[in-house]
Amino acid sequence: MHAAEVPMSDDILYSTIVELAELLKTRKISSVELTKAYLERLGKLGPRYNALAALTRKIALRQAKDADDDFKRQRIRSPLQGIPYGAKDLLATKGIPTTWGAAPFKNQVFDYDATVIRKLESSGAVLAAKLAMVELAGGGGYRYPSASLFGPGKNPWNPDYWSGGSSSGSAAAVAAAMVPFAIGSETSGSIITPAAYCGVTGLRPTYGLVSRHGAMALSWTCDKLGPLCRSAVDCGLVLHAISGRDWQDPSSNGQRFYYLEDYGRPLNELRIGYAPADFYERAAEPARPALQAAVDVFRGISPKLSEVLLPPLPYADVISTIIQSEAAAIFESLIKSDRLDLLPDEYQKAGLRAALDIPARDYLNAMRVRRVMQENIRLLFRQVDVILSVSRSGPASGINEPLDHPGQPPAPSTPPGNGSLIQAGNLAGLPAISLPCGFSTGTNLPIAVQLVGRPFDELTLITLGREFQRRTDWHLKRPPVA
Amino acid sequence: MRKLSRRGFGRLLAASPLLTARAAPQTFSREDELRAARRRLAEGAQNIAKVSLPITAEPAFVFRP
Repeated sequence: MHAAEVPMSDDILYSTIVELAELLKTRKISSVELTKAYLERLGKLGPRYNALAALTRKIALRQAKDADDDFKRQRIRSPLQGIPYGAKDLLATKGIPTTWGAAPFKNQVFDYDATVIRKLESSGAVLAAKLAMVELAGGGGYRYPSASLFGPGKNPWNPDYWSGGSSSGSAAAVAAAMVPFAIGSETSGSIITPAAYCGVTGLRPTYGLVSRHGAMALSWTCDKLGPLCRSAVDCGLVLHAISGRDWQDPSSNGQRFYYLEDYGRPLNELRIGYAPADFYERAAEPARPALQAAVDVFRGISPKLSEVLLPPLPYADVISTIIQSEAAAIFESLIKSDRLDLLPDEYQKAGLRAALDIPARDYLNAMRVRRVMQENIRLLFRQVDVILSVSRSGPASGINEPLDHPGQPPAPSTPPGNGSLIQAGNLAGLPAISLPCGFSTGTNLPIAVQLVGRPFDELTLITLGREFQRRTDWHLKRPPVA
Repeated sequence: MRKLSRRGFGRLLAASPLLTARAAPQTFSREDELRAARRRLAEGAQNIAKVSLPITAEPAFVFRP
């Protein structure tokens, strides 16, 4: 059965979950109509941006019909009821290939759904597609955006540029309104980076808040699953649905996230810490106007903006040692087999092979330094409630540009910044939200800021993000997709 | 010494890294890539070893019976 071409306006397709929920609840549109429109758009645009792993048409239309039946009975399970979404292709979906973005696993099929998929089904959401990703979520590292079964993730703002990774399809699909929201994952930047490059809102939850049962593991102590959406509020609604204890995930810490409209604390009392150099000397020049304007908006929200710096510790080396060690254990049989040569990226293959030889001593020392880092960061959060920084220091790179070139090091006189915040935040298991804040001069690509909070303080990040998005409209912009 | 023609000189200039507008795809041998990966990990371990750790610092996971 093929989805009929359903003309539905861009205004509806680019709507937020909140807006779509209202349209569905009042039955101005049906979930079946909406789902057919998104399926059609996924089919047309997904391949253009290498964002699509698979359409889940049959499941989607069944779930959409169930949602419509519930709407008729005035039974509303959640704000996500009847709303289509895409799932990064490392999430097990029963009976449908789950490729992990990698050729060796292109025919892999699980006979169960990941917990996140089950929770979204219980919420009434509609699984419309599996979305493309960097192979093995970037395990081993990778040199080129083409390190994927689906080809390089292309940016809907300009397909000559990368969508970012490893949740490349998740970000592109939301940016181009192929779905209103998607689920991605982050080990060290894989939600924040593509969200920033594609101009969507991405939320990395606290480690352990969202069950990872049924998700490909890259690093047991660093992996998190989270939403990419069109707004901070939407991220809150999705997180509400997917968070919570899961006995099938040993890392699940039993906390649940509840999205509340009333925050309960005046935003102007929040203490926001930042490093000015991140927005000036250490930012790429084309990104500076947008980033600096964002700082001004936050200063307007909370005048208690103060300078704060991460302690100078080797965050990149620690997270690399930990992720590589754990990935080597997870993928040992692949790395030792001929199937590894099916991966296209030579840097990645070498990284995985080398990781097999990491001594236990090196891994344990990295984990000991991680403890020190966690403690330092915990002390830092006595001075501030939230850390504001750039999501990435510049716009997306070109689709054929190598990602491992070191670039020009900053001059010795450059003031220090918090350039290691993605690594530090992931090592400490902290939540973060990436908020689009403008466009680069010249290339006109999205630029974003990130907010990082204390463990389980997603509500502060989402509320601040909501206020930022109330005062700006960058999250409403639409890429030039025909 | 053979005289270099204008066309030959042009080809020489075009091949010059000074005029290369963008990075060419990097091609290293499998052994080079593996050596480089091992070197990166070893350098990382050395950087980590420089961090002064209290003797009591335990890894960031705790085993509980």
